[in-house]
Amino acid sequence: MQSKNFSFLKMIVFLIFFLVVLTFFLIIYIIPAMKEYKTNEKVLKKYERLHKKQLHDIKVLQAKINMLQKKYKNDIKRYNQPFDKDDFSSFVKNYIHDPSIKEKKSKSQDKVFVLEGNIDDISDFYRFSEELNNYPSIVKITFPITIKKEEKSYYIKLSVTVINKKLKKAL
Amino acid sequence: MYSFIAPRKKTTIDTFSYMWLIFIVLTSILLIGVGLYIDGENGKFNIYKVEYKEKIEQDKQKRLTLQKKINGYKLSYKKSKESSMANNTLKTGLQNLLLFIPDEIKINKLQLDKYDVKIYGITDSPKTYKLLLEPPLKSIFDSTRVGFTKKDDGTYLFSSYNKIKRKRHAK
Repeated sequence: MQSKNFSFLKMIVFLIFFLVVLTFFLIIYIIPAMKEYKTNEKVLKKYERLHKKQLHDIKVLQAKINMLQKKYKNDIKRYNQPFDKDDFSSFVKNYIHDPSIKEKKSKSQDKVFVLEGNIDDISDFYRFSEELNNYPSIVKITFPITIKKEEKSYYIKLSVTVINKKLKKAL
Repeated sequence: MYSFIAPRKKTTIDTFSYMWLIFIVLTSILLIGVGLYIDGENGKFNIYKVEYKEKIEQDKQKRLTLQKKINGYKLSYKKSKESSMANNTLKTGLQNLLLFIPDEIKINKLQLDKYDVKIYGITDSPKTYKLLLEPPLKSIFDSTRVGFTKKDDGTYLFSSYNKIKRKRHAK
């Protein structure tokens, strides 16, 4: 009878010891590790989603670039085309006789030139302003403009602004 | 005292305790194993996290570069269109202005600025100017002033100053 009680007591002691060991490992080691695992899993899933979204965005932007490259091909080319004063002078000669092109000091980021010369008829100026839109660089006629009638021709003085990415002065 | 039977061998730990201890040790080893496995997974997660962070940063940079490219293309288009529009508007504006000039009035000089137009010319009489040129000018400009000087041949030199309000121009 005494031996049976002793065995039962021993079993209870071992069981308690086992539970203590189990609780110790669970509380000290397994549960924190599991918590970290779950947090990491969440963070990783968040990163994965973000990465996928960014890859999708990049794909969309790339497609947009391809579309814009085709659509604005000419405008992009004109804006990036380095401005060649001699070439512009040859272009101007088709419409204005003996042109003089001088650079004007300007506060703006773009380069401004003063253009002077003579035209046979006012329609030459119209043609000039039309064809300027097809010139390899972006050139805009700006004020002031003076047109004066002379004996056989018209004297014309105007400003042109060259809008070019590479010409932009540092701010 | 003398015993007739041989003494039973006694072990320090009985079988029951021995089994319990093995069970506890095995459970502990299993728990440590599980813990180590989770730690290993956490370590992998941390590596993946770093990798993803780098990827996300690279994607972000790539996205920014692409976005800049798109903005650049849009700017090229905007600048090109603005310039073409300005050149066309100027041409049309001048064409329209010259359409208003009647045959009785001869223009010697035109000075066009952003907000004002100066017209110098010859007219038969101030009345002709006021009847034929002033009404259309008044319909375009916000204010119009004119001065006349009589010439020896009886005709009049006139200088007309026409101004448009800045606010209206902006519209």
